[in-house]
Order: sequence, then structure tokens, then C-alpha cells
Amino acid sequence: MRMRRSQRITFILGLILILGLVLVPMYWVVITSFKPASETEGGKLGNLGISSFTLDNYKKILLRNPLWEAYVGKNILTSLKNSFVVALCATAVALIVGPLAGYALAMLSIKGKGLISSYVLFAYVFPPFILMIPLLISLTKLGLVNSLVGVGFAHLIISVPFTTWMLRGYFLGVPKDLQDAALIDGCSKVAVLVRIVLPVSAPGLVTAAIFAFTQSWSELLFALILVNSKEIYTLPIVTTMLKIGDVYIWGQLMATAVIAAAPPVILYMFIQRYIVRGLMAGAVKG
Amino acid sequence: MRKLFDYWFVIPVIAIISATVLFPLGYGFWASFYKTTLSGEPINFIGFGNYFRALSSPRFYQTVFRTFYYTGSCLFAKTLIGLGAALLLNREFKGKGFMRGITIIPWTMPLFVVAIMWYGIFEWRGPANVALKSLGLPIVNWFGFETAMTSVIIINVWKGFPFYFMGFLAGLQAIPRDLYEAAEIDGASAWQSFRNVTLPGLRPVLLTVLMLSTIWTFSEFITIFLTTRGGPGYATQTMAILVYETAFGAFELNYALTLSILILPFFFVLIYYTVKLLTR
Repeated sequence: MRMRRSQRITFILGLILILGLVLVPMYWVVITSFKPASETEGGKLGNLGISSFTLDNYKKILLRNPLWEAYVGKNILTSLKNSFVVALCATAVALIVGPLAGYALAMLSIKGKGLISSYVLFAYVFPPFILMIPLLISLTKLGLVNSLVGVGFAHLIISVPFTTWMLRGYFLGVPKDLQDAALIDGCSKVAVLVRIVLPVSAPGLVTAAIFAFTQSWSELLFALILVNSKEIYTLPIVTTMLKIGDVYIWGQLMATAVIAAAPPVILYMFIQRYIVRGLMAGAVKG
Repeated sequence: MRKLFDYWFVIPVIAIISATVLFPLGYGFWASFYKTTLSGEPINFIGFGNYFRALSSPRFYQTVFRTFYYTGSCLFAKTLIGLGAALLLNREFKGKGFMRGITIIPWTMPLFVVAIMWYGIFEWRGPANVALKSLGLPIVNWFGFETAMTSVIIINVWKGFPFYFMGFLAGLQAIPRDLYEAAEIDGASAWQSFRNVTLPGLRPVLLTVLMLSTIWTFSEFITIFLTTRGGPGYATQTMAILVYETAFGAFELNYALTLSILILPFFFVLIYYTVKLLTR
């Protein structure tokens, strides 16, 4: 489709608007993370330029900052590890139980399939803030509060229903003949899932895994209410605590933000193509 | 026997969802009839006491109304911007993939990062005011009593519009080309073909996106909590913030539970229609 001159100008202005809207705020975060304190204090916070580039903020958060040692720990490495372990476990559990259920809901003829699918979707879209206090008192009763196991348990809410729902959508697209042929050849249903359905759904599996991992990695609400000692703080908690009294140390805060945002933003670049497909199956969270 | 065996595929997921969602919900519902909770154990049965208290509290109704205002404004802006971006990028040009990739970045960023980023941008001497100043405009107190609500809405829209964009883009691509050609042959103007071909074609996607987005926007917590914490005063206090502050600011765990349970019917209706829409 050829564009008229006026259309062309509108089009280019639109592109610039989107680029500016998305990239300028992010640019400001990154540039601030490389600024010394002298360039973020005294009314200079908003400057988009930089006069003395420094890695000091990253050194401080990754090695040691005596200023907040007392309440967030020596550096952010412990919290990085905690977040990583929790996200990995939540993803691993989801990748074991999700494909099994997704397969049954998409390809097997079991009674109550519709109801079970609805139950999974119900759990996926359910607003987390309603579960905040019920989870807290339930986990307190079970003695799981203030432990990484408790946080991991809560994060199953994010990873398991989503993974199941998304894979169900994916498996619906796998030709049924493929399964029937294998079943006639005497394959068990588990073998059909592992040898036939999973290999052709590899992109779906990777997408589901990345979703589950990054959602858990970014989760703050449950961690906030379930955790209260600095040994088990996750990265989101530590990030929100990087201030002294009410004063933010902007350079270090933004350096932590960059480190926290990098894994999800980079991982999504790889699965960009599959996201929209997932969305059409009703499986994308926004 | 064969059939029964098949249930083992779904039992783990059913068990996990029941343990993490259904059981806590039921336990919370039961605890809402008690006055306090001591190490996970509800004590002092007061029947519907918490419910009467909530339903006769003006603050509850004000907060519900405020949350609807917040949700409605966010949804409206996200729909407009998402649709605009989708229409703009739904054509062939060099760098199409790159532009689409850039557009979804806000949605891939962790919520708490988005919140602290905008907290900095809206600082008194932050980049937003620097930009206003360089344009010769008066600077704004972004988290003041009059402005804070608009600011938290802007944050939600920035983070959430790519979700709409992706939905609309997929919807636009599903509209058959012939429909546009037929409209052109019939002499339809650009506006007419937009109204009579594009909009009806986007309806199913729009409905799905709006349903999901209503549930998640209405329950938004992190971006408000990390910027205004519901303030100044109660200016940006939404349901999620009210529940949190009641539980952990005023230490009334059971009353906070009651507040969240009172809003549950609204979510049940939304979830019911969303599930119906998506399991078709």
C-alpha cells in the first residue's frame, strides 16, 4: 500500500512517539545507574545527560554498601540467589505438572474436562490481592511463613495454572491423528506425550517456562507479606528497600532496577514471536 | 479402569490449585467471621460483625468507587493507545519486527521496576518536570492531592498498553484482506472501512482483552503501593491498598479479609464471563 505524503508524515511521527514513550524512561533509568551521587542529588535527578560515567553504583550493590548493610544485608547477591532459586523451583514444578494436565485437557476424553479447564483458568486470572491474607494465615498455620519454601509455594499460583492453560492451548493445535496412530501402535499415553506431543510443542514449552520464571522473578506482593528476615529477601523486596529513611539513593536504586529488569526483558526478546499466539489462547498476563 | 487412569494426568494440577487458591480462600472466608487471628488461628467468633462494619463504613464505598474510576480510566487510555499503536504497526515496512519488539518492552518489565522508575521520573526535580521546564511550561507536583490519581493511571497505562497492542495486532491480522478490498470497490472511505470492517473484526479480541484487563487493573497493587501508598490522604487508595493497609497498617487482619471477600462477587461475575469466553 503506497502512502500519501501526509500519511507518511503521520506514520513517522507515530513511530517517533512510540519510540520516545517507551525508550526515554528506560534510557533515564540506565543513565542514572551510571551516575555518581553528585549528579543525582541537589535537583539534578532529571538531567538526561551525564558528565562523569561511573560503575560505582553497581560495585556498591554487588559488593558492599555499609549504609544499608543493617537491614538489607551486605549486598544484593543473597537476594538475587533467593529470587533465582524460588523462580527456578516454581518453574520446574509447573513444567512437570503443567504438560501432564495440559495434555489430558487437550487430547484425552475424560469426564469433567470442561469443568477442570475452567478451574485452571479461574486460578490463572484470579486477583492475587484477594489471596494475600488468606495465604498468609494458611501458611502461618502450616508453619511455612518466613521461609523460601513458603514463597515458592505461593508462586505456584503464578506458574502452575498459567503453564497448564497455555500448554493446553498449544496441544490443541497438535494433530490428533499423530496421537491416534501412536496409540494404535501400542504406545502408552505417557509415551505419546513425551515422545510425540512435547517435541512438536517445544516453542510452547520454552515460552511457558520463560513466562513462569519471569513472573515469579518479578513477584513482590506475596513475597512482601510472607517474608520478614533479610536472609530470605527476594530481589524485588530488596530493591524497594534501597533507601535511607525516606531518601532514595537513586544511582544504586536504578542499578538494582537494571539488574532486576534485564533477565525478563532479554528473555522476552527471544519468545516475542510466540507471545501473540499465546495471547490468542487467552494465556498472556498484562 | 483405563479411563480412571487418565485422571492421574490432571490430579497434580488440581491438587496444587486447590492447595494454593481454593483452600486459602475457604480458610479466609471462615476466618472473616472472627475478630482476630493468632498465629494462623482465628479466635473470637463475631458472626457477621466484620461484614456489618464494612458495609456501614463510608470508606469502603469510597474506595470501591475510586477503584472503579481508576480501572475505567486506565482501560480507556490503554484501549486508545493500544489500538493506535496496533493500527500504526500493522503494515509492511522496514524495521517492523524491531518496532513491535520495542513496543512490548514495558509489558515485559517487572511491575516493581516500572513503579520505581516512574517514582523517579515524577520526582519534583525528576525528568518529567525537567521536560516541562525546558518547554517553558509550569512544573507539576505529580504526587499531590489533585494529581496523584492521574499519575498512577499514567504508570498503569504505560505498563499495560502493550498487552492491548498485542491483542489488537493479532485481531487486525485475523481480518481477511478481501473485506477491505470489497469495501474499497464499494467506494467506502477510510473511516467507513475502519468503522464497518476493522472495528467489528476486533470485537472478539477487544472483549477478551478488556475482561482480563479489568480483573488485573482493578486489583493493581504494586505500582500504587510503591509510589503513593494510597496517598496523599486517601487520594489513590484502591481496594488492594485498603486491604493491605487494614491488615498491616492497622493490624486488623480479619477485617481486611472481610473487605477482600466483599469485593469477591464482582470478580466472580467477571471471571465467570472470562472463563466462558475463553473456553468456548
